[in-house]
Amino acid sequence: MAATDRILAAIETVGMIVLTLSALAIGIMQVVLRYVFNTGFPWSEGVFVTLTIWAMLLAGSRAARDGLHVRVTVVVRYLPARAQRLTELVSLVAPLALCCVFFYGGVLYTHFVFRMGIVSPESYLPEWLVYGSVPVCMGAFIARYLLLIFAWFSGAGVPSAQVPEAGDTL
Amino acid sequence: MTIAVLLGVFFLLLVFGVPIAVALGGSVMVASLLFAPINPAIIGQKIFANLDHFTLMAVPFFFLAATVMESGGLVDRLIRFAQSLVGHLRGGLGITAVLSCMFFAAISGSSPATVAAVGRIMYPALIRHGYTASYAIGALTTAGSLGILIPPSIPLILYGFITETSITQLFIAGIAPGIIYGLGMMVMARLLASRLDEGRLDPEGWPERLRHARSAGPALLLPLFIVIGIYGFPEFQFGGLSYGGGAIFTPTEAAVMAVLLALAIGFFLYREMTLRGLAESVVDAGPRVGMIFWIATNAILFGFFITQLGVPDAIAQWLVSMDMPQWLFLLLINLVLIVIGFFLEGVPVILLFMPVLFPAATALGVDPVHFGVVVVVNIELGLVTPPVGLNLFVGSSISNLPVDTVFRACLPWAAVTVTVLVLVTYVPAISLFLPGLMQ
Repeated sequence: MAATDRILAAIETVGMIVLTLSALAIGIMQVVLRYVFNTGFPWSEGVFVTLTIWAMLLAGSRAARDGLHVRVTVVVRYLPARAQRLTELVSLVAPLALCCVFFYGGVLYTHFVFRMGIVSPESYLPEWLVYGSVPVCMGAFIARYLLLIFAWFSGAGVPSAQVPEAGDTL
Repeated sequence: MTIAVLLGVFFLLLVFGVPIAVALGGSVMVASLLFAPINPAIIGQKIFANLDHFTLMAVPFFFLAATVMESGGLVDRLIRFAQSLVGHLRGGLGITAVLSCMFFAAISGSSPATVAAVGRIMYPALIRHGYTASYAIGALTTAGSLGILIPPSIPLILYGFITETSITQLFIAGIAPGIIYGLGMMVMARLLASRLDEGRLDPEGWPERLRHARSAGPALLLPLFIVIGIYGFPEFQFGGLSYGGGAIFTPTEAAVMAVLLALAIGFFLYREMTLRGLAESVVDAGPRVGMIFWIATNAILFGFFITQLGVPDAIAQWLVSMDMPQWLFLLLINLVLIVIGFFLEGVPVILLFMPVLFPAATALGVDPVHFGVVVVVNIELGLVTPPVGLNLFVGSSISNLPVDTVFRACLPWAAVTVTVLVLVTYVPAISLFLPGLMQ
């Protein structure tokens, strides 16, 4: 389990860094080209958005590991310990189920645009590369929640960012 | 029946402690499966399409800019500058804490980030100089909420995105309330300090102040750069030069350029930023924005579903049919948002409730920009109220005090928040004056 977690974390980390910094570079290039050289590439905005969404969906999977996904625990904290344990399991299984649905939908749509050979009018990229972010990142979410469920069965709790640090949500 | 199932499943999942994003998406899936099946491929398409908006991309890059600035040695310089200006006054370090929060708020769009960044340095300094723990943590935790009112502001970006209101106008509208809020906090810092026997700092001379200003100057230029970038210069003709006026950047481009500027300052001026630090900044900011994007895509799915069912329109029509005066509507909105703020964070409050409340507000003639500022001040109050006030948790981690002690410490300071809320709600000119002036 620990090895799988490390591999997944490495993929998320590298993905986040490479995709975010690539998007940043394209964003800067777009502004400089437009305002300094009065020119630009028609694909830059589309590619910038696509890369950022890829990066942030992947980062969402990492947020599951770090317990950053916001939950309302007002009721849960007043339940007896056994009931709390059960709600923890529900709070892991429900995201897993939803991510499976989104994964399936993502695969269907990506396969559809792949077969049709559609090219994105904004980014000039093949649409399967754009919409492929959904099945790939949902796959990462699924792996994350499976790891968390295994951890739950071995006695661990639900990860929770009890003390938010600098850079938290708002 | 569909609405009942939708809301029933949503609240059930919330009660079980399921992430809010999943409660939103999950309830739509269950309701659609039972009553109005959606093609799974369309769902796959919508998860991406819901996020496929250039405006929304401002969120990760403003977040990244703040993280890079923090790693690049900015906060310390800002605090030293603020201290040189007001540190010698009665309650001077308390006022310094508020002023530092205002400076940092103008760079960061996040309140907990402001509390954490300024608090880690200012809390020990306040205690060392004889301020009580209650005074110190109350000041920092509450003043930190300025982070989301003074532009750039992540909640204002999300509000603008969801309601299709100009983010530029919203940013400009946040300036005056932010300054009033900051000044109110400074007055409170002075008033509460009169009961203390705190140590005062020696006044610094103007050469020393100028030295600190020069050191903090590049960091202080960033907010100016953002505001000028997204609003542009007024039209002018001077000699042979002419400028047609208008914005230079979109808010998203401003966010990207803010990161570039932050990197340039960190690498070349302060020399405290490294490539490793940049990578760490991305990994630090990424998951927090990833969480926002995950909520956003599910909230938009939820919003799409309830709009198809006609819920927002029905609520708006019902409110209009009640012939409710605007002041009463705003009062009710404030009460509702204060109660919601006890249980939900700012991001879900905006993404979940704005699709429902915004049509009603506009139907009753409330200005969208004014309404946005009112919502954000309510969220600020929610940040310092238990059980989910994020600033309380950050304050607790900084001070090692229990959350309920931090909350009690915040109460006198929260009086300023409530006063600002009342002012902003019933004097729309506070928010609308600057955007009107710049149009």
